[in-house]
Amino acid sequence: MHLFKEQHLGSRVEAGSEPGPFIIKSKYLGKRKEFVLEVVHSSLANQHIVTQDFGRLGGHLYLVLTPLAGGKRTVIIIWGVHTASSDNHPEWKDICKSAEVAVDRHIIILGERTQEFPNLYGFIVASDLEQNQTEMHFNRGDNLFLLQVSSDQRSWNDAIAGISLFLEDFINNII
Amino acid sequence: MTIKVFGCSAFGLRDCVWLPEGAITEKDLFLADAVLPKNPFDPIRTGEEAEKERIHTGLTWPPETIVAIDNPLRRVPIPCVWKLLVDAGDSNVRWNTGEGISFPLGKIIAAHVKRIFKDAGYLGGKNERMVVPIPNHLDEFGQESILKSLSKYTDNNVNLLWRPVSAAIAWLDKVQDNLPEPREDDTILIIYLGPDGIEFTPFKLREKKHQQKRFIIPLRSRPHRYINFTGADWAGAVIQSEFSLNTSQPGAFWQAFTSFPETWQAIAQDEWWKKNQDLPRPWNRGGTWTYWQPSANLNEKIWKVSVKESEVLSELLKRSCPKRHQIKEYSGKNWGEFLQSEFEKELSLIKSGRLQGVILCGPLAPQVIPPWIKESEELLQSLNFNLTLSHKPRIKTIWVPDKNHDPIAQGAYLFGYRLTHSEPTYLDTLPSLKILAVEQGEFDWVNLVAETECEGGQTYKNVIKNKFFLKGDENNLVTYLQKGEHSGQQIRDRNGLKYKKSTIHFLAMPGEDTKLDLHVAMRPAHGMAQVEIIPKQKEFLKGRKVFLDYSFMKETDELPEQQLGWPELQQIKTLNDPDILEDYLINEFLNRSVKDTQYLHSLNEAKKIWTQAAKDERNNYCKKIDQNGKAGCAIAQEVITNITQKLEQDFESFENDLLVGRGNRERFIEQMIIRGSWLWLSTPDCIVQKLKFILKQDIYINNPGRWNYFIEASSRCFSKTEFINILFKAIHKRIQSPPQNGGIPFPINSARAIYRVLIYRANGHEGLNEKLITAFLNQSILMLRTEVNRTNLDRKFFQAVLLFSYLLRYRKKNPDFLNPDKKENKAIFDDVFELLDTAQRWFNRNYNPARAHRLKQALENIKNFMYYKGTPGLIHIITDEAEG
Repeated sequence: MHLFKEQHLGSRVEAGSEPGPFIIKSKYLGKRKEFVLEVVHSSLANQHIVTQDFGRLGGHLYLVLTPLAGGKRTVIIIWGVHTASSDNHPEWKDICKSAEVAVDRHIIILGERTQEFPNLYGFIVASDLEQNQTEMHFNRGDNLFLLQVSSDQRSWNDAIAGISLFLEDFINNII
Repeated sequence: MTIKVFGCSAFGLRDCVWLPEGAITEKDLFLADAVLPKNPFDPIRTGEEAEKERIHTGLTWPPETIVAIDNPLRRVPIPCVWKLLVDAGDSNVRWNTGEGISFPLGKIIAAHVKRIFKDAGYLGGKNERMVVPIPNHLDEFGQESILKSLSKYTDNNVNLLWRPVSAAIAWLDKVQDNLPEPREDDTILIIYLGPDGIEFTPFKLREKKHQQKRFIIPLRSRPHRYINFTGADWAGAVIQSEFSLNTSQPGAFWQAFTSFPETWQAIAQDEWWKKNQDLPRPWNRGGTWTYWQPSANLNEKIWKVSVKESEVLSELLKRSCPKRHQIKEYSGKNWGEFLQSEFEKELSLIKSGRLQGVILCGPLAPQVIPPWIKESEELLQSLNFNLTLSHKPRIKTIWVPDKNHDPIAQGAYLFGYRLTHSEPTYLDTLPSLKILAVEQGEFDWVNLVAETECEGGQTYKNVIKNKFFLKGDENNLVTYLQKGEHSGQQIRDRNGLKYKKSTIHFLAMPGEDTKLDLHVAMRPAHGMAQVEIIPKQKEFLKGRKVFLDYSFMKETDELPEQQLGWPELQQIKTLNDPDILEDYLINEFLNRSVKDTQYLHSLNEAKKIWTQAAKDERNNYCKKIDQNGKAGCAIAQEVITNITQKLEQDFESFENDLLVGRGNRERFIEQMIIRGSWLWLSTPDCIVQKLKFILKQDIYINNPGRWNYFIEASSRCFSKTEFINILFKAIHKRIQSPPQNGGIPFPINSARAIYRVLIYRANGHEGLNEKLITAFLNQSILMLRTEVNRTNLDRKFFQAVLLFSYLLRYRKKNPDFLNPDKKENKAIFDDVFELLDTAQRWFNRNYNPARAHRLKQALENIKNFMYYKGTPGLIHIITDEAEG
């Protein structure tokens, strides 16, 4: 994966350098399940069969999970929210709410006219100059999550650990 | 210095490197790829590096993995590159990756070869020798391309070796002590089944001794049959039929083809379902994901798959490398039948009892006797060869080496070892290569490399002297090369073009015309012949060497315009019609006794039939027999042969019949000679000899009418130089001493006889000498003037023109004849030019414009001949007018 020194439109990931696809395997109650995980960058999302209409959501990355045995796909929309330069950023719950509304509206608008519309989940990674802690915030529903991370580079290790922990947990739950 | 030899088999599936300490073989049947860079100066990724790359893996995400029919590919399956390189023949074919970037196929192969050698510990030092087997049909151009790319890496210590030779060496190395002295026709058959090609190669065997050690070595002939299908086509067809794939799912096909081993394993009859633990395997198919799980009976299904090029594979490759060979014909409905048919075709060429062994090798060769060999058991038995499989090399068996024993890599190692120890390896037949020399305006294809036997690894040398020269004020020499034999039937390359044109650049001009010697060196399976051009006066090069550079060669279908100093030989066109001589008059003659009073009448009627003109399907006039006395087809030729035999018998029996009165006999013989000579070179020898006798003895010199007939008869049936000379001398004698009873010195019959010989006989000019040519030249100009001065120009004028122009062929014997640069010839040139111009003006006034224009072209060409600037193809206009 190639990372920019400076974020570009909210993302440091160079388009096309995302890793994957990955095979994710699970065995639950003796039942073997396998998924393919594809990581889609927002600037390439229009080329992916599942995310091609997701432009209005403004996600920075999309994680597309496809069950190998057939069935509905799942897409995790990842947003980056950078608050370092704002004096007074919105509350995390408002950000969550806004994202949830966006996801819901998207499901309403596209879900009806698209066959095999995927399950959608949102994941916001929000940086804060003031906070040193990596902290998870939940919305009311179970499809939108926000992870507060510190803007301070010294805390980025924690942030990465938090993100990976969340994703692992989150994907486990989904599959 | 001890040289460490590395042999290999690097065709992109289960590659192997053979070292003194053992072999390193890839375990499974995974197709090897190369990934080409975006920047042409970046390295080509191969091996593990290529496998790790996502580029063009056939998935649908991320974008760089996508393969599409309309886009070029950057991931290149190595066997496909080998096949394309073989198909490219002597063309410079490149792999296009898009955006104007492309790579020579040889460079991709070299990158792959380098990687497998590097993995085996090859360092590229002077004490290491690399031996790389190549397909049996790989052109020298392709070899050159690989060698060029490998040379930097290998310190030039690299040898290429024909793949089947390699396997043969491995087999013979084990069995040669048990083989008796090979007979002329003793043969071994090497069958190679690989993703890049399918080869059935027979070798004759020869014995060589080296330091008291006996070696049996293979003799490689020029490869004859080229099987266009490959294991890749087979695998492609299996994937398509097993999973109902077509061009709408190129990515799914590509993953199965390049990343999954099961199809290859099924073809190789491996028990993949027992070995491959990762099945079912994720498979991205047309935008969604599913499982790859071939059916359990895939190993049986592969035999029933139709024989054809894989449509999806062809479509995927066409944007990257479009010059894939078109497959025109094949035998057998399915792969099993196809292989059986090919196997039996080869067996049918082997004499009974002479087949000493069969070697079944290649990564797709099964470990058991395949059905297509079992089906041929009867044929094998008829060759006194029992259908016995052996995993060890044994005489009179089918050797199927173990999977971990690659006979190609082993043979390559043995070849390198033997070369290092100066031991015999194999005998090769070099490819014929000719270069065009122009001698006095005529083309002469000179052998640069003759199709001769040469020891493997040894150098063939040839020197061509006095065929080329460089003008004093030029520093370029344009050459044309042609492969194969040049005997009327021209061999075209795989792009349909006949010749290669190259310009040799000298760094300076010699200042004066200098002759060039060509020094040729060539090693079997070692690229193009190296041709050094050494001028006789080489000071102007100041020690620099000049070589023929193949890299600037261009394919062409056209040779330089010939600039001739004489008109070309002509050919009487015949009709290819078996019934053309089926005529009752001929049958009547064939059945008529020589004693029959109607014999001469019957002969005359028959002669009229075989000399009659006929029309072909385009309404062009043809004759029934040509100037060599040959009919256009075998059935008609049989009639001619019967006439010749009948005439011969009749002539001899009549000549010896003393009961016939002398006067009658003479008249009879005279008629037989004149009629018989219309058989041209099929005229019975007794008649030809009689004519020679008549001319030599001046028998009819004072009987001008008869003399005329005999002169013309001789001109039709004389072909030996000695006879032609007698004819010319007889004509000359009459010029010098005209008949006393008023005959003219140079009748039109003399003119016709001379030009007829020169028109049709390649050695005609050899019958002339200085005295004869001078006399004939004067007569021809006199005749021209006489005709031009007449008010009405007719056939005789054209006969005079024909005579004059064909006399120029004497230049072949004496290049100084009518030399346009010599002052003493100026009067003749002026005279002839004026006569031709006068005639032309007359034609312009009296003939229709089209005819006058054609004649103008033809007459202008006569003038050009005089100045060595004539072109072929126009003289027939004059011949048509002269002969009517």
